[in-house]
Amino acid sequence: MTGISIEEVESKVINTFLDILRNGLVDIKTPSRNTKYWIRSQVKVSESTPGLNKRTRVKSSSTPGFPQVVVCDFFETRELRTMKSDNYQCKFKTYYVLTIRILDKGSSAQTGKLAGSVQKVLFNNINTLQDNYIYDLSFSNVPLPGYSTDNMDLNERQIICKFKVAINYASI
Amino acid sequence: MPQFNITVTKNLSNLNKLTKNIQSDTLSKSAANAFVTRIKQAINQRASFPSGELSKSIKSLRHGDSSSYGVTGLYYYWYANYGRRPGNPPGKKVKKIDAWASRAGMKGKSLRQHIAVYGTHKLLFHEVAKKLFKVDKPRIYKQLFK
Repeated sequence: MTGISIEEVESKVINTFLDILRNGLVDIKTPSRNTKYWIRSQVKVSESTPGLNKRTRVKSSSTPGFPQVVVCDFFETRELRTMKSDNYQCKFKTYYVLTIRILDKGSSAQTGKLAGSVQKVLFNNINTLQDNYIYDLSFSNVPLPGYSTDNMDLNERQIICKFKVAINYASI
Repeated sequence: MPQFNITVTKNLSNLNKLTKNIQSDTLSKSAANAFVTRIKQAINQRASFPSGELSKSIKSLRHGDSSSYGVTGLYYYWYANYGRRPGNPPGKKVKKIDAWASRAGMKGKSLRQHIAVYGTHKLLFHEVAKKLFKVDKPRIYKQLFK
């Protein structure tokens, strides 16, 4: 068991979640809609230099249409030193939080349905997540107050995913 | 040799305009920091083109000898949070509008007129931050309302 190195953890976790959602989710209104556009990341991470990952914010106006599923705000909460053993190269599991925003216009019930299907897709792909060193996934589905932009009123829901990631500190 | 009596007085009225109390001193240090990260998260998510000034200004602070911490931010936090109804234009004393207008290639006067006609949207950062804080720290959530 090797784990993920600390430099690539953010980009790898975000890309894993994006791949799972893009393969599993379908827009009910227009099933032929390209998932690349409506399931997206708010932050783009490039691993140009190790330890100094470049993070750029993707502008929301570049993606057309609603509903949208936005993967954003990945951060560490605390370290759990349970895997310190000579048998494992991986020494730590670290707690992380990832936020998935679900934005839609129209009725708030549609946003709730989409949030439920996002949770179902993630539960069904637990084996894929564990292959990418993500463990003990738990969700909280939070309805948030809507807000208005120049053109429309938006409903928002957030799924806050808490999980542990096996980090390989051996290379440091 | 002549003697002068010099008295130094502090005028904090201008400083008070720059920052606004967002949360009174009722939180522990870790809880205040958690609330600050939630507010910053909400601002970065909801503001369409964030300059970063508002989110950078939000900090946890301890006033005087108090053992508990509060949260402060720039003075226009509540205007951005709750928006503004159409009606009168904002005053000339609100210098920040001139900076925003020049960034968008406009004049301050025309932006003030636009706000007077259409108002501004409410983005409800504070409400989002409170809901996210409730998920994160449910046991001490009630301390936000003290």
